[in-house]
Amino acid sequence: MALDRYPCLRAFLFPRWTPLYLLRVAAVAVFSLLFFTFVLRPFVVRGSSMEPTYPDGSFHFLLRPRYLLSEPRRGEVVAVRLAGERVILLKRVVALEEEDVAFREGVLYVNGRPLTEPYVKGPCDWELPPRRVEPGHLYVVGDNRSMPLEQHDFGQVSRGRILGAPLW
Amino acid sequence: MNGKKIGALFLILLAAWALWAAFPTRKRQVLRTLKALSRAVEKEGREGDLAAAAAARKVSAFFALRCRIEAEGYDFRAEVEREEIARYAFAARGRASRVSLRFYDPVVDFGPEGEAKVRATVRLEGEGDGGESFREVHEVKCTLRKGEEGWKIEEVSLVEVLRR
Repeated sequence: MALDRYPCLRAFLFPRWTPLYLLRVAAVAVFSLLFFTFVLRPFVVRGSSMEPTYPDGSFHFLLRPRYLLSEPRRGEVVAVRLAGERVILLKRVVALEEEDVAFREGVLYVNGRPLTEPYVKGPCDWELPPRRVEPGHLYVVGDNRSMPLEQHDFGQVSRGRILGAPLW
Repeated sequence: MNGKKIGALFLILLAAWALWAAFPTRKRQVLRTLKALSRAVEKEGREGDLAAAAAARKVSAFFALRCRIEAEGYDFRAEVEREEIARYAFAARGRASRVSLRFYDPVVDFGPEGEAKVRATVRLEGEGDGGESFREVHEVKCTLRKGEEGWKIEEVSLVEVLRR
């Protein structure tokens, strides 16, 4: 057999099930489970509220420790948790606490000034009277403003519900 | 000898599983109720009026005779009867060709007098009759109470995670 000439390759592809090998497998499994639960969590986008930045069905990783030492900033995409962590909402931070937010003829105004949003590609006709973001909250909106305002989930969310940010 | 030992071990495991399945804890009873509700709501393909009515009645059977429904974000608060829930469910099934309801991350707390409070994420998705898809994701709080017919939903409220 060709593999007999390459013992290292053979040992790599067909390892012997020694106790040490099983221990290594168990260690890798535990490490992977912890890493992909608490550090990089895989997720699939469902829905069109973040299009075109995050298309429906696209696969990403959520970097959970992203905001351990810093605070979310305007323009960043964040993951908002609901009752647990299995279903998350992906939204973009457009205003910080104690700022005023409004939509006029589809343009987002923060503290009375229009915000340049290069990530918004489609037409938008949203109208929303000004409102103040409460302390300890962030104002988040999806990138897809072409959908009707009534069908789009957005608004102010408690900072404690921010779970992390997508890796890309 | 070895075979006998393995057989005995298998029987012990089987008996433990049977006990576990036959005598569920209160928490598992509540979670089973939610799972059963998901199955009852599920719809795949067209169904006749009789089948839809039976399915709607099955869905309504998970609710108490009077159920309070609240939605913070929509400023909606109402008390509906089980019959009304059956009618709503029937009408909703008629307008959709596919429906699925899933509960995620349910947390169950027990209160006094056989009351269970559940907090979970609910995803309702499907396809309308015209082929348009719909998807709703909400955090919900439910209150269930155990009666003679098992756990019934007495109160459902949608939590406003994003407040406009």
